[in-house]
Amino acid sequence: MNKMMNAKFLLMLVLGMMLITFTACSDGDETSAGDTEDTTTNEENTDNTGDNTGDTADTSGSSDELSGEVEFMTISLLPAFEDYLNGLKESFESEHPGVTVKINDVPYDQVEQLVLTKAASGDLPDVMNLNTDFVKKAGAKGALVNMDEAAADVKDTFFEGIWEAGSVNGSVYALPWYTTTSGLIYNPELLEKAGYDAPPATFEEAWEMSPTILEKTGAYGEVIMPEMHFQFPKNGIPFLNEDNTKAAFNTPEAVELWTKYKEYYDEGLYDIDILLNQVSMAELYAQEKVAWWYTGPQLFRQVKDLSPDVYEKSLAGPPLEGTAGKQHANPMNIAVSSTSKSKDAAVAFAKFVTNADNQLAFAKEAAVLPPVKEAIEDPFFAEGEDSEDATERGKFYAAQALDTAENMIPPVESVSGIYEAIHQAFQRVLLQDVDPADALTQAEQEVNSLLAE
Amino acid sequence: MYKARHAWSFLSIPLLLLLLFTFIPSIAALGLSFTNYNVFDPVEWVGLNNYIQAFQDSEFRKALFNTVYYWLLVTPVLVVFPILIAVLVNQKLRGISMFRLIFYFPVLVSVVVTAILWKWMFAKQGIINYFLSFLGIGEIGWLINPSTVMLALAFVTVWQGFGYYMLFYLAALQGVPKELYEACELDGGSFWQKHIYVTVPLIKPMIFFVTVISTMGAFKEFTLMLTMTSGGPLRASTTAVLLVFQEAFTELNMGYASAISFILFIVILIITFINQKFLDQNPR
Amino acid sequence: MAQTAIENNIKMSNKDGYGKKKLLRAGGTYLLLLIVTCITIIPFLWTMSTSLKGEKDTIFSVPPQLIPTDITFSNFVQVWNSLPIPMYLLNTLILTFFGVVLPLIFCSLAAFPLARMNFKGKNLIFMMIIATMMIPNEVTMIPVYLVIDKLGLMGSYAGVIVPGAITAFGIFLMRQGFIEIPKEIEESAIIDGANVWQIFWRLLFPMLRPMLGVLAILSFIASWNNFLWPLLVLDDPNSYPITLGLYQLQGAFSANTRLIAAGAIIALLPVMIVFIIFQRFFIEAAYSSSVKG
Repeated sequence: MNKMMNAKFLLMLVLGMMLITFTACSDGDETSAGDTEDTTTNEENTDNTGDNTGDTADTSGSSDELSGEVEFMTISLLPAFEDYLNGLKESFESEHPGVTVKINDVPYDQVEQLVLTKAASGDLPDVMNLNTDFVKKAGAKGALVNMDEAAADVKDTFFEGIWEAGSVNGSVYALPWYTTTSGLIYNPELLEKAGYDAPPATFEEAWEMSPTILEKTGAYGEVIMPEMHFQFPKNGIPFLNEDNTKAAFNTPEAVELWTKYKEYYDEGLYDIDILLNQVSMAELYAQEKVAWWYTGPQLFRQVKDLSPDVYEKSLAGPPLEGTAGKQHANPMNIAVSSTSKSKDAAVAFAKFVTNADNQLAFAKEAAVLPPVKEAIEDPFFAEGEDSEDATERGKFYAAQALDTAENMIPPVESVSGIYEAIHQAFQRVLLQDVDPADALTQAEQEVNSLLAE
Repeated sequence: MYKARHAWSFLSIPLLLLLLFTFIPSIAALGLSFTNYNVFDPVEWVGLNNYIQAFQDSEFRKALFNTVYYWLLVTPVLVVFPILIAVLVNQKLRGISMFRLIFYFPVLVSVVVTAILWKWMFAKQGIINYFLSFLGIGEIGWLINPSTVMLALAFVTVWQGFGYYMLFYLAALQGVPKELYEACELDGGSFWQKHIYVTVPLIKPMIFFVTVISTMGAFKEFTLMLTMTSGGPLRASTTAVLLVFQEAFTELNMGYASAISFILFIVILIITFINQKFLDQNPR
Repeated sequence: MAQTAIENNIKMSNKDGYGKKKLLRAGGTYLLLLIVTCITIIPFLWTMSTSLKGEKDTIFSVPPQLIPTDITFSNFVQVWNSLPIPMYLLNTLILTFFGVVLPLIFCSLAAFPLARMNFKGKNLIFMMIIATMMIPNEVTMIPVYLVIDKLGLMGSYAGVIVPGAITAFGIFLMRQGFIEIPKEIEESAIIDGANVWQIFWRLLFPMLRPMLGVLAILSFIASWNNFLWPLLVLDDPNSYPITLGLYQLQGAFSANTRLIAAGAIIALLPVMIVFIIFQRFFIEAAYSSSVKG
């Protein structure tokens, strides 16, 4: 009998709690449904939102035409940038009383699953922080607002090479929000032990120094990193032909480059575990197992987390250059869903987030660079050349390189397939002793068939 | 003694829930395997194209091969080893519940921590090679060598899984009548003899269950590969479901991903039938 | 600790005639268990020690440095201060409560007829249930999401809980449990005039205890660690469970392993407590003959 009572009690408890949860949820649904009703569903993207962007905030009544709820999806920015994001939300809302902004932060690893699932139910966030690869995939499918049209008024404020990052099949589908270019953090102690008093300036020099460094200190010099595919454009080898219809990386220069890489590998100058993401450069550098790390200064502080001592003695220098003399600028982008119910407000918010003032403020907080020309002129980026702090100095050099930097990601939908083909070919060269020329030819064929689809 | 209406009264709510959240989605996924669904574009019926493509796809063949290899490495160990452990921790000894908890630890460790930890353990200059060096075994690039990567991942799987399956066997052992052991002891049976002749036959249904579950687990595993190796090097650790995941969420080929899933489904189904023939003796 | 345990067993064993043999066996058992322990406890020790390490200690060193020299609780403090941990824990508690109780009820309900009754379509239903286990979740995820959306459960805890309220795995497990109960037990109950529900609730359900314990533990872990689904369904960060909250420790520009480890320990402790409670619930009948003879 007692057991029966217990069971009944349990059942009541379950039903009761279910009831509470269900009512709580239906309340939430009602409010959100109410919000979307008074949304302007203007499908045409006219430029009437232009006056709301830029650093001169519009205070006239005209901006009040904008209304609706704008969901802003960010990637792994909370809680570190909570104040900054809330500030954006509040100032935009006060400029446009009809608009409410909702910030939704998503872990980096789950972005694609989340965005695709939401897209399947027609529930894509209005404004999204997306990486460049994904912008190209979603843009090609027509899921994002064409920014060449919707943001024509602000297009010229961006660096051209970075504005182009969001382009696929001839149109641009995102506004660059912040960007990173590389600097170089190096360990002067290790260099000194190997008899060098300055870090390398080019990749070629870097490889030349590597054997001595390895011999004298046991640490690696130059290594092949997971982003090795960008070594092509950095050394003047294009991924694709002019009209992006065929692979163009199977050149004698590429064969020569890979042949050298294979030699270096056989000499033990670097190991494949870095390329395969098995060890992180931050860790290797922090353990003084590598003499320098060519990466964005925003990541230098990872060294500080792992080993404050090593960070303390580190210095920063200008980024290594390939034969093309150009740096790759990889922006994070702000895109607007083409199915957004409050598209005008969403586009206005996207422009607001990426305007010079807001970009500058974010760049200062996160040690990244603003892709807006006006913002980079801020004295902040001219400082740091003599700083003792590696991040500060790295920021200076990275900012210097931004002028000539460009986004090197090919403007096609199948970017990830192209990288994959190149990586598989390179791994065959290293692990299976495949001839570099054969491997490149095979990768070329794979990329061509991808592009033909 | 029971009537059909009894059965249906018990099954009604569960079946409704299963219908909504299991059967309908599964059938929807099956339907998608005949389309070019990619979330964004309008859906087009492509007939058997995805299936034909799968059979011509060398990547898929490789992934299927990898999956079977992984299954063969993992499942036999996960079926047998946990029985031994369960028998050991089912004794009344001081502190034994502590051991049960410790063996279950690996199950509780999050994916993120597992990946960080084991990458470090398996690194060329990592702990595993450090200990192996005492045995005179040279540096092995466990996760960066196509021929060892699956062995390493299988090891992590066993490490993470044996406590999980130990739990099932422990539950099954609770149903073994103690008198049977006493009888066996009177006949002079040793500790292990006792268990081979008494325990194993009695927990055979559970052995069947664990075989089925761990088989499905092995065939569906991909998180471990995704977080530890991304399927590399040279796709040597790309399992079928990792390929499904990549096709669906990186390449946006949901239709193709579904087709691969259903080919895999048929493979698991056949294996499960074979298992049932050999192990399930409860066709009540 | 093991030392005293062995001594205690000596005392216990000496009471009976087989003292020496039993002692050997207990010692052997402990030895085996300790070897396995060495392998399984590493992650816990490493996570624990990493979470306590200060800036001066290296994390990824070989041989591993398990005892921090620069011991500090600042990592825990930092995690606690930067995230609303108690709120996340409370959210997780609500989600896991339903995530444990509902499968226990619904899976047993479904498993009972599938294991102990004969009716038309039984095998078909069982095969269908088992078959769905063979389909990767990655391809059914979007369809399930659409069902939740159509039911209007998006953004609510119900949307997180309901899809896991019954699982094919759980039904399979409970069926296994029901099958192992001897048939004669019900027959006598029926003679006593009990109806079907009484047999289920009063007679068989309590006998399922070991299996219910297993399912409870597994469901608990599953809902505790579940983060992709809550991420998809919930839209308010204030309703996030702990695992999802802890993901915030990996920022866009930083991944501080010490903080991640501290977060992992915070999330692990409640699970350990639950495991200890539940395993007592179903292994209390551990047989004792091996020691007492």
